[in-house]
Amino acid sequence: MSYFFQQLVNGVSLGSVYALLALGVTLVWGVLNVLNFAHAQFITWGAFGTYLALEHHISVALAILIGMATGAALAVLLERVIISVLVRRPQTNDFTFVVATIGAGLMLETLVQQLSGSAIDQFPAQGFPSGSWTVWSVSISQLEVTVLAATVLITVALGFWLRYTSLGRELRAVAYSREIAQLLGINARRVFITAFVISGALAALAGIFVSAETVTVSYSTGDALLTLTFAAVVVGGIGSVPGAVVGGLLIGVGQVMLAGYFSSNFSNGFAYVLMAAVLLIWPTGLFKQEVVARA
Amino acid sequence: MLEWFSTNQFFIDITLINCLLVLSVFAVFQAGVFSLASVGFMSVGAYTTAILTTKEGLPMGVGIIVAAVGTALAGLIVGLIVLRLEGIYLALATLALAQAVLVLIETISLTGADQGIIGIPTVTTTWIVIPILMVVAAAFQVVHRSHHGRAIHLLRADPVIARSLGVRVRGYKLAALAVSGLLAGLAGALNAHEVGAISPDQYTFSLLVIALTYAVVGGVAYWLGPLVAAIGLGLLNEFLHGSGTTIETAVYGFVLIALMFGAPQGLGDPRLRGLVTAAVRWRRPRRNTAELEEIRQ
Repeated sequence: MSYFFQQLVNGVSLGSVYALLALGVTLVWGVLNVLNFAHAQFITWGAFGTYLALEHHISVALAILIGMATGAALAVLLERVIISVLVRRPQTNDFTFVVATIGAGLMLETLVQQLSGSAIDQFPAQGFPSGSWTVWSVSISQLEVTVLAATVLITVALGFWLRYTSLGRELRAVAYSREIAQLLGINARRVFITAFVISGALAALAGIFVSAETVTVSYSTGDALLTLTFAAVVVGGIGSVPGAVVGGLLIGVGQVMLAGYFSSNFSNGFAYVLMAAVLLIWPTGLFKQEVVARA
Repeated sequence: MLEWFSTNQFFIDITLINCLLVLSVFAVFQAGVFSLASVGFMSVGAYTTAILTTKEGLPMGVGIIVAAVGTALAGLIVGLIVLRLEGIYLALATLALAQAVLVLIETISLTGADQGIIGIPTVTTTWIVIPILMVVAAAFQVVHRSHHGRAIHLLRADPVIARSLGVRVRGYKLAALAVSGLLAGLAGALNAHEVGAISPDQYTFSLLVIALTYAVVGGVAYWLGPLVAAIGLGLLNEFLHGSGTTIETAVYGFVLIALMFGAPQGLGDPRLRGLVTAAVRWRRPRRNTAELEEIRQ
């Protein structure tokens, strides 16, 4: 039984990383109807930002902030240079954004690959919490608790922000209908940038946590996570904030359980099969997007 | 000429096989189905013929035909499953199914897990690939000129109007997915017999991105576009090879973004056509055939 709880703890920890990633993807989809294939690069660049800061002996807290700022800055750049221009074109459709963000992701990944010399660097994780607690013979690493606490905090804060602040309400209004929101005097451009900033910062944070857990960072850190993030988003319901968290946790726990009880080979397959099944049986996901009109 | 041919035979074959993969992407895009399953079909085709020829000892011809028919059926089945979805949902579902198949290939022992299969007879030659490609091209041209071709173009432009005019939208989309499966399976099988060894890590997301790039550059209106794009960019790729593959990927990324900005419909984009007609008019100011062209359109 303690093995089960051990796996559960590990799964929730992995799932909360997926949740952080899925939150960003779902926010951007909610306001812009853009499925961002360049999201993986926010993860990688954020992790590299923190890595470089730590290499220069900057304190861990500041280094994490630098990494998040890197991810956010990259996200704003993507929004300003590519997305916002394409949004204004009359004949753009979903595919345009898919192709353009795939292109942007390729360029950013190549850039980081070139800069890092394709090497897998050791991530200096000394400053991160490293001990572990033993509760009822279940060992919980402090890093896992940190990741989980950060995810819970961020999700709750995001929920309050969306509901009770003016900018959060504006974001929901734009997600409901860009045209109506703009007629009511809401600055949609500011909302788009906000969504991308949050998306980039959260992806970077997730990347930093993954790098600290695996103690490595490379140009492909984000790649493997992208399709799993999409799986989490789809399972929760594209565009739904609580859905992103639940989807992420479901996939994380499912993967770890399958790997623990059967074989690690099944863990990625599980995510894809679940994703396909949800799409085919229940395309809106577990949580319907608040904007029903666009589903 | 012949000498150049024999020294670059591998490159020529691979480029021509890539053309088949790109046409597989084109076949679904043409019908307005944004399927990302082509590389998955390709892996199924490659493994089918690899297992049949190495483990059952069947000749290559049988392996390739079974692979092509099998992936066409797979395409049909995927179509039956995913065609209740549209747009981005369909794209994600096909991607998920293709990834799931790859994970399956990586897991079971029949396909040699992550080791892959080696010792596949390398019997693909240019003189096998070229006739296949010509037959495929001819078939695309026949369909393009027929009432089926016009129906497909209509249903891509507006599925609602197409249906109201009696076009069987679902039937055409199913057929498109089956053809896509067939072509990708053919590409995979020929590729396996060209390289001689296959493993799951060949069928990555980046291969899909490359096929996608070629197809998008070529445009969705006419089959010649993707073919020209695949051969042109394949040659470009070969010339850039000295500077390393990372540059090549970055160039593809840039091409994708630039196309979405400048000519979202690829080579057949009206804006590019406008540029060409403007250039023609500038070169030969007296002739106004270009203007006549425009009026006629």
